[in-house]
Amino acid sequence: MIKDTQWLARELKAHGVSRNDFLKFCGSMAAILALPEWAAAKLPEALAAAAKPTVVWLEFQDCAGNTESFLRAWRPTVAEIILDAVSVDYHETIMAAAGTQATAALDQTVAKHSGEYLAIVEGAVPTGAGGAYCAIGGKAALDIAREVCGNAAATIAVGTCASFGGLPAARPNPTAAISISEAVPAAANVINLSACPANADNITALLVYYMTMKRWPPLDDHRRPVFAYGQLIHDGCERRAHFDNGQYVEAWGDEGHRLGYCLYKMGCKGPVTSHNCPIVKWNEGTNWPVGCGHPCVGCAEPQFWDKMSPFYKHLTGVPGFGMAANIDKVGVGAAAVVTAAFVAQGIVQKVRSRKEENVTTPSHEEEKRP
Amino acid sequence: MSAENAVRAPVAGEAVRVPVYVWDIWVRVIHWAVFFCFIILAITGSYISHPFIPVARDAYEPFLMGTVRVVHFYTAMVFDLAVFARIVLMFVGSPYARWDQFIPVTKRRWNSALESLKFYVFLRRTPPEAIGHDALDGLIFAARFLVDLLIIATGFALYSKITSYSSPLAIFQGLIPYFGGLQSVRWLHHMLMWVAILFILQHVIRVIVLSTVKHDGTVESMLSGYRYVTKEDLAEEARDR
Repeated sequence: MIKDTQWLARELKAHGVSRNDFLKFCGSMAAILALPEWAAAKLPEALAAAAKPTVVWLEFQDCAGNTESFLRAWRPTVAEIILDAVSVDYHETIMAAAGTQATAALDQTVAKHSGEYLAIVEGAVPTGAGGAYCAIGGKAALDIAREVCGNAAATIAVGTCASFGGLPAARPNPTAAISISEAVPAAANVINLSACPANADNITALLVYYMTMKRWPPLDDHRRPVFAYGQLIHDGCERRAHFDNGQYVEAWGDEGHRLGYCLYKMGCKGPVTSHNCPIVKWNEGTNWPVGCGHPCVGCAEPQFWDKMSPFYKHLTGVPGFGMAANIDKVGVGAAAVVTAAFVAQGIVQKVRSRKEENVTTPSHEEEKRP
Repeated sequence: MSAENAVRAPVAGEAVRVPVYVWDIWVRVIHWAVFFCFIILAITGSYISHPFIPVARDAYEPFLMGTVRVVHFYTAMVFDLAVFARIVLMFVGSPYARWDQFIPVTKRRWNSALESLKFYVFLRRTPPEAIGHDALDGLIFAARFLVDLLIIATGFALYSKITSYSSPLAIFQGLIPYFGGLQSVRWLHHMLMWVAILFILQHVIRVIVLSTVKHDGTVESMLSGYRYVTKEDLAEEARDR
């Protein structure tokens, strides 16, 4: 980290950001992090005095969706400074340098700030074909990840691909893609910001937390910050009252859909997905998938592509009957087979035992006669 | 245990049977508690997974799903307690409720289970005699207990995510990774309902068949507690103990 406590004030002035905008930004960050009032009040002061972290942004097997999300951080003036102007020494998509110069910048940062810089990683790491599926400057993604994340103060995996493997790791996983924590088990402070893409507000909030508190926030079982992944989407959903009332969308565009009923029957995975989507929302807090009438697909959960599909059905199919098989139809079929088999067995045995009785009864009488 | 004076007139050609008090009041109460709870749980659970009752647009605070869920949760508590009570009875209950009725430990019971299996593949005309649980039946019930415990575990795992953070039941969140995530827990919980339904179907049909083939009053025994057993079998049982 660069020991310069005046950088933020300088940057804010240079970008023409007013004190009012800065305070608004701090307020929204405090809200995302769920800070108590006394801590929220101290945030602007702490942030202004925070040291500037050095960041390298690695991009592996992905669609650059997280970069897109990050470049469109809202309240752009302040967030841009926090995100873009944090010393991003290496970012393939947005950096001016190319080729040898770019890789030299990365090598230099790793060597100069070893153990101090933050590595933000986007995309899964393919391990198949000796790493040939993703190589940058002749180096396999796995080797780059080991070198860069292995020497970082912390690694932030942004997006579901970097956090859990995501789409590249979905069945049948042709490139043998793995997540960052699997690729670099020795990496210090791996923090997963899953979702497809990761919400820029959560990335910003995580950095603000680190810069002001000088430590990382509490994490859940999947190493995701509790402030963003501590609650089910279902529990914060604006359509929750319709769920409890039993009012559901039955078909796309039906009356319930137009009235904003619950999307549970359309396969919404909100009840099994933890994220702050309904509260923080997307695109400057404009809306989020359920808000515009589309069920949640559970993109923030591990293996969501395999486990949450079919996206428009409540449950996955039954193994052996296909992914789209209805579990209840298979159940009714199995119940019919079991009933038929045992009833048939019972009838046959009853008939046989009756025949036996008819045969044995006279013989008993004969025995008694003498 | 035995009430030998209440002998039923045997059907011609059939062995003489005497009533034996096999299912004590605890076993019978738990049996019917589990049965009725399961029916309620299956119906409410099916509604929760696929809400099939339409609610009018202008209904005043219908709270249908909320109510069904609450019924499901409270019934589940009774079901859980009944299953746990039955497991306790396996160690403190009557000889016909003990764990060795479910897991065969003697060679005789293993043979009996094999003989029972022969009845179902038409290699025998009558199933082997048993005073308490038939040996094969016991094994099937041991599997049923495992299914019940899995249903309970997945149910607690699902509940742990919707209960408040201060609830002691929140500790069951620790089970979720072992089942492969919340969506898999949901799928397992639903699938196991169908497995339990298959158990109930085969149980009911087989009990009726055994009762009519052997005339041993198995169906009524879960109400009265008495089952009609041949004298020879009773004597053999007494020798074993």
